[in-house]
Amino acid sequence: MEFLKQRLGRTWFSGMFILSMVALACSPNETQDPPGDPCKNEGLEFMEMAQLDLFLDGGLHEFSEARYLEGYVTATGQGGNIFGSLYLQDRLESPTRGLEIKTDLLNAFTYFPEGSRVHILLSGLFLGRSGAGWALGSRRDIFGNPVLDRLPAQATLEHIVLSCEPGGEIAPLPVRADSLRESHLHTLVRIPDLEVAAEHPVPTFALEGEETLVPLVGCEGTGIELVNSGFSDFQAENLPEGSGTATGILVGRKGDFQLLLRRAEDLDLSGLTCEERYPPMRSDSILISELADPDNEAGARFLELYNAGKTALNLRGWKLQRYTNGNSSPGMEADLTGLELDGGATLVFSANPGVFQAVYGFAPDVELRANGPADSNGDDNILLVDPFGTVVDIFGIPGEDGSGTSHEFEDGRALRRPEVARASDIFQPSQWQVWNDTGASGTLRQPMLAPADFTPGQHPEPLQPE
Amino acid sequence: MPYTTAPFHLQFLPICLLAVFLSGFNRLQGQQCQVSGRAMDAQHRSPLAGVLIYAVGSPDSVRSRQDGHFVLAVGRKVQEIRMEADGYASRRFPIDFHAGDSLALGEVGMRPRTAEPERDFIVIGEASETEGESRDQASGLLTASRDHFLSRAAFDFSAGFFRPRGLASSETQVYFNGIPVNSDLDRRPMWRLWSGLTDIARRPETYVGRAFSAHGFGSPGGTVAIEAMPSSLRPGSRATLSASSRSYAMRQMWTHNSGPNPKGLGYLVSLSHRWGNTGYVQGTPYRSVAGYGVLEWKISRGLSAWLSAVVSRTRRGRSAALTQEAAKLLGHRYNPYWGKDEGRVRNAREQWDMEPFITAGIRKQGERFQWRLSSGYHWGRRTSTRLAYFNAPNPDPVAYRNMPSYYYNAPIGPNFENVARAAASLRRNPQIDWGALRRANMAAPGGEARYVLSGDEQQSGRWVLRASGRYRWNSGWHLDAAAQAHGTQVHHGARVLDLLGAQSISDTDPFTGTRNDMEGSGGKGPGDIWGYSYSLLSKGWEVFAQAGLAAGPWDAGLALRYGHRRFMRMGHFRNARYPDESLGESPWDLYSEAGIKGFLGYRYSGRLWVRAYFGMETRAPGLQEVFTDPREHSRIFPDPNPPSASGGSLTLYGRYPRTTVRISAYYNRFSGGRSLRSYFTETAYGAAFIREIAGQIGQRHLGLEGGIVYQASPVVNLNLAGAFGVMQYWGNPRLWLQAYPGGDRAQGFPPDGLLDAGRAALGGSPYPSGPQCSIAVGAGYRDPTYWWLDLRAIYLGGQYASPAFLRHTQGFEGLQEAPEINPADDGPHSLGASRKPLALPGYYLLNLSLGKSWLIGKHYISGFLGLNNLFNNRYRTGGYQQGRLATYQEYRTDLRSGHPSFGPRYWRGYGRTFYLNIAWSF
Repeated sequence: MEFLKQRLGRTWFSGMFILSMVALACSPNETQDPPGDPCKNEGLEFMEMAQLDLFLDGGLHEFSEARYLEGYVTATGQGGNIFGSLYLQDRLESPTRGLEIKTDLLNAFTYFPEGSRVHILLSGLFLGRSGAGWALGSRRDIFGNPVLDRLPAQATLEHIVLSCEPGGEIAPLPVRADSLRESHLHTLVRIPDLEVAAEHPVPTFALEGEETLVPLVGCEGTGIELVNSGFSDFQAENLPEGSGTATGILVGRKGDFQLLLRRAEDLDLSGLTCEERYPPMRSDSILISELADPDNEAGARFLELYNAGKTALNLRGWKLQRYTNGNSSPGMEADLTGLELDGGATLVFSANPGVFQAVYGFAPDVELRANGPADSNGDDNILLVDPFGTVVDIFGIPGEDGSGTSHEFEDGRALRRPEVARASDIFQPSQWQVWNDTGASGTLRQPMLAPADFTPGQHPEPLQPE
Repeated sequence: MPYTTAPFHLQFLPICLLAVFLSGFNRLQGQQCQVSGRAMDAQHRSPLAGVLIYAVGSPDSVRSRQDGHFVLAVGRKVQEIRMEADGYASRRFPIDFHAGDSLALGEVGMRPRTAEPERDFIVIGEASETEGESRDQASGLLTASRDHFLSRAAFDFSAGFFRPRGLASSETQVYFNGIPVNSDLDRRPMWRLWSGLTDIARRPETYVGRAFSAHGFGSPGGTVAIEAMPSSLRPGSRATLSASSRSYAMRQMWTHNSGPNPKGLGYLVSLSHRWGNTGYVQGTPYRSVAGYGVLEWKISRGLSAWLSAVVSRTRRGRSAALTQEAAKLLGHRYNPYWGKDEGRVRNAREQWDMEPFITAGIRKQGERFQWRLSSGYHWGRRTSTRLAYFNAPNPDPVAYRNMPSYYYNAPIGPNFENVARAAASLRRNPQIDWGALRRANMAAPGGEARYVLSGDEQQSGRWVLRASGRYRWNSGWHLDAAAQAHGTQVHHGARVLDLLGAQSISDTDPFTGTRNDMEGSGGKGPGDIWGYSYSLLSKGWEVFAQAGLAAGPWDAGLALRYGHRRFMRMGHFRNARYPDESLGESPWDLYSEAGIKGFLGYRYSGRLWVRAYFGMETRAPGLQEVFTDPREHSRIFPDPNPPSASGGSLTLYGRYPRTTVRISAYYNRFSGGRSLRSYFTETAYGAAFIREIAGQIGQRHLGLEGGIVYQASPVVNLNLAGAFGVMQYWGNPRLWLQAYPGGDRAQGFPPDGLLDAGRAALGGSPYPSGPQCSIAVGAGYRDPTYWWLDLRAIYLGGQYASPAFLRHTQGFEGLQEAPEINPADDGPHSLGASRKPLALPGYYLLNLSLGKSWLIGKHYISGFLGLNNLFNNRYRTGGYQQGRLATYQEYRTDLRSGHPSFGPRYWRGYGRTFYLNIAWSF
C-alpha cells in the first residue's frame, strides 16, 4: 500500500478521476419524452358542435379554454380532390352539424381515415366561416382583416387526436337538392336524381390543373354544382352519363350550394338519365285553363293549367312562354321541369305568392318570376310549348297586342270553357270566356275583382252566366 | 538481475558528473569519442534492438543490436546524444567530452510511449439520402508518427474534417498485412474492417504524398501500411478502458501479444467493445464489438507465415446536416433522425457493418532479398437504414413544410401567426414519432404499409492475391516489384427491415408509381428485397516496378505501374421504368491504369535534406462511378475518359539540436472526376426526381504544409503546424440529368429522359475539401516524472460548402421565355450572388491533453485525458447547397423572405468533448 501511494501520486490520480467524472457528466441533454399516448378520454371537457353557434359574432373567434370537440372524419385529402381541409361531423349518421378544419397536413388520411373518431383541442384554434359553414384553423391578416388560414401540419397533429373509441362507417345523409339547408353545410350528404347538365362542355371530372365546376341538374328541377380539383387522382376520368346520386361534402351558402366529391365513386350516376326516366311526353290534354288580372290587385294575377286527361303528366321540358304585348318573339319563359300534373288536376302559377296567399287564402302551386307568364297585365300572348318545341296550347295571337281584341283580359279574366278537353295550338276565341275593360270582339266588358270573381285551383267550373 | 526502482533519469547522474563543464578549452577537437550503452525496454527489462542512437548536429548514427548494445563514434563537438525508437519515448543525454574519450551510458531504459491517444478513425460516411453527399474523414492519419504535422492534422485539424493537401481519403492507399484494403466501390480505405482495434494498428508505416515505399505504387495522398503481427508489436498484454463524449461513451479493449516465439509460433489477439447510448450529437447510439487474431509461424530464419482474421461488428446511429434555421431553432446537437420508440432511442438512419477479413501469407526477410506472398479475403454486409414512406406525410420532423420558413415563403404572403405556431410545434415535438408511424400503418387499408424501415444493403466479397518483393544491391540500388490480382462482387439491394405494424409493402417507386420488380410479387414482406437489386462486379490485375538508388547524399527513385480493371453490372430486378435495361448482365466495361512517379532527394548535411517528388497516373473509377444509376439500369457513364492525376511536391526536412522542421510545397492536378447524386429538383425544364451525372470534374490543389517543433528546454517544447492551400475546381464539369423516361416525365426532358445540362461554370471556384487554412500553435511540457501536458490553439478557416452544380449552368437562368435577369443587379439576391462560393467562417479551438504513466513492477499504466474545444466554440465544418431550386427565379423568391426554405445545410462541429483513456500493460 505504501508502495502504491508513493507511486500513484494521489493528487494526480484523483485529479484525473474527478476531471473525467465531470466530463462524463457533461453528456448531451436527453430531450423530453414525446407527449404520452395521445389516446386518452378521461378528464377531457367536451363541447357539442352545435354550441359553436354561440361563439360566432362575425370575424374570427380564438378559443382559449382547453375544451374538446368530438367528431367523425368525413373527408380528408384522399383522392386528391380536397386540398387543405379536413371535414368532420358530429354523428356518424343524421349529423346535426359539420365542421371544416383548414390544415396544411398532407395525406391526413394516414392518421385520420374516414370514419375515425377524433377529438379536437380547441384551445389556440380560430373559429370562422367558410362559405356559410364553420371552419377551424389558424389566422392570417389580409389588409388588416383577420381571415381564417390553414393550420400548420405539426400543429394539426397536436390539436386533433384519435379518440380511444373506434369510429365507424359514415352514413351520408340523403337529402334532395331542393331541401338543402345551411345546417347541412360541411356534412356528408347524398343527393338523388341528378345528372350532369347536357350543356357542360368538359367531358372529364376536371381539366388538368384547373378547378372545374360541373353543374348537375335535377330530374325534378333543382340541381347542384360540383367543385372538382384539376389535381385530383380522378381528374382525367370521364364523367358518368346517367342519372343517380352524388355524395359529397356540402359547401357554399344557401342559394349557392356546392358539393365536394371525395372520389370518383361518389358520383354514382349509373341509373337511366333523367330523359330516360322521365321521357318527354307529348300531350294535347294540358290546357291553359284560367288567366287572371284582377282589377283591384295586380299582385293577385295568376295563370292556371289544367290536365284534361286521365293520366298524370310529368312536365319535364315543358315551357310557358309569354309574348309581351305585340312582340313576335317570346319574352319571359318559364320552365315547367320538375312539375307533374295529375289527371284532372290544376296547377296555379303566381308571380307574387305572398299577395296571392293573402288574397285567395292559399298558396299558389308554383312561383314564377315577375313579368312572366303568370304576371301578364292582360294584353300579352301566352303559349304552352312541349319538350319538342311544339306549341301545344295558346292564348292570343303572337305578334298582336291583345288590347281591344278577343284575347285581351286587362283588369279581367280569361276562362277556358269547361267542355274544352283538348289543347289548341291556334287561338280559338270560342273556347274562351273573356272579361276585360273594353268589351271588344265578343268579350265581356266587366272588370273582375279578386278573390270573388276568380277560381284558381278549380277547373272546370260551371259556366258563368253571360 | 534485480532492478532499482529509482527513476531512470537519475541513473546517469553519476555519468553526468563526468561532464564537468562546457569547455571551450577543449583541444581534442576532431578526435573521435565513443558513446556506448545498452538499450532496454524499461517495462519488460528486455533488450531493445533497432533503437536509433545519434548525435545531434552530426550525421553519425547507429542502431542497437539484438542484445541492445550499441557503440556510437562521435566527434568531440557533439553536445547531445539522442535515442529514439518507435513506440517509445525518446531519451536525450547532454554530454561533454572533457576527460576521456568515451561515455558509457550503461543500461538505458526506454519507456513505451502512449503520449498521443489512439484515434478510432471511423470513416464517417454521412451520406445524405437525396443529395448523395458523403462526408469523408481525413483518414490515413492514424497514430502519431514522428512527423509533427501529421500528428496535428490527425488529432487537431480533424475536428474540422481537414484533408491533408485537400485530398480525399480515396487518394490514400492503405495496406493491411500486405493486402490493399481500398474498397473497389469508391477507392476509399476500409478502416471499418478493424474498427475499434486500435492496439493492433498502433504504429503504421506512413508515407506522405508520393513518397516511395516497398509496398506499392501508392496514391498521391500517401501510403499507410499496417502490420498487425506478433513480431511487429510489443509483446505482453494490455487492457484499456476509455470514455469519451464524442461518438461512443465507453470502450473496453484487451490485447495479448505473445511476441515472436523462438520456437516459431507467435500469436496476437485483440478484442474491443465500444458502446454508447448517444454521442455528442443527440440520438446517435453506438454498439461495436471487434476481435482480431493472428498466428505467425516462423518457419526458418527470415521466413515466416501468418494467418489472421479480424471482424468488427458495428451499429451506429447517424446524424444530419442542418439548415441554419433548424440549428437555430433546435440546437447545434439536434438530430432529426431519431425518436423514442416504446421508450428507447431509435435512430431511423443507422449504419450496420460486419465484414470479416482474413489474410494469410508467407514472407521472407533476407539481407538482400525480401519477398512476400499475401492473400486476403473479406466478405460481409453493410446496411444503411432509412425510413421510406408512401401516400403519407413525410416523417422527417424538419421537412421544409414543417419549418417556420415555409410560412415566411407562402406564395400569398407570409403568415406570421403560423410561423410562430410551426416553431412552437417543432420545439415541442422535434423528433420522429415512431408511435404515430405505427398507428398510421395499422390504420392503413389492406395492411399495406405507409411507413417502412428499409435497409440499403451491400453484401460483398472481395479477394486479393499479391506478391511483392525487394532486392537490394550493395551499390545502393534496390528494386521493388509487385503483382496483384483482385476481384470484387457486391450485391446491392434494399431490404424490408421493419413494417412497423403493417403486413406488407407495395414495391413501387413513390415518384412514378411504377413497379420495381416486375418479375416478383407486388407486395413484399419483412426480410424481402425490394426497391432495387443488382450486383456489381470488378476484376483486375496490376503490376508495379520500382527502382531506387541511394548514393552519398543523393537518393532517387522511379516507379511504374500498369493494370487493368473491368466492371460489370448484373441486375436482378426488372423495373417498369427501364424494362429492357434493368435485368441481366451488362457487358464488361474495361479500364486500364498506368502510372509513373519519381523522386530525387539530396541530403545537404546531417541536419537538412530535401526531397522532390513527381508523378502522373490514370486510374479506373470506383465501381460506383462506372454506371450512372445502377439501381435503375445498366447505362454506363456518358464520358468514357478515365480519372487521372498528376502532381508533385518539394519537401524540406530539418533536424537541428533544438528544432525539427518539415515543410512541403505541393501541387496536384486531377481530371476526369465523377459525381453521381439523386435528388428532386425544379429546373427550367420541369420538376422531377433526377439523377445528376457530373463528369470531367477537375481539381487543382497547391499549397504549403509543415510543422516545426522547437525544444525550448529539456521539458518544454513549442510547436507550430500549418497547412495553407488553394483548392479549386479546374475546368468546368459536364452535367447530365437523367429523369424517368415516359409519357408523364417533366416536359422539358427529351423522350429518353437524359437531358444534357451543359457545363457548370465552376472553374476557378474553391473546391470544398476541408479547411484550406489551418494553423496549430502549441506548447508541450514533459515532466521527467513521466507526466506531460500539451496545449494547442488551432485556427481552421477557408472551408467552403459544396456548390449545387445546377446553379452554375446556363439552365439556371431560365429558358428563352423566362423573364430577363437584370445584369446590373449586384445585390445579395442577384444572379452573381447566387453563384458566389459559399465560405464558412473560420474558427478557433483550444485543445488540451494531459497524460501520465506509472511503472509498478512489471505493470505499466498510462492515463490520458484529452479535452477538445475547451471554450465550447460553435462552428460548422462543412456543408452543401441544396439543389432543389434550380432556376434563378425560384431561388431568389425563396431567399427574399430572409428565411429560405431550401438554404444550405451544414455539418456542425463538436463542442467541448473529452476523451479519457487508461491502459494497463502487463
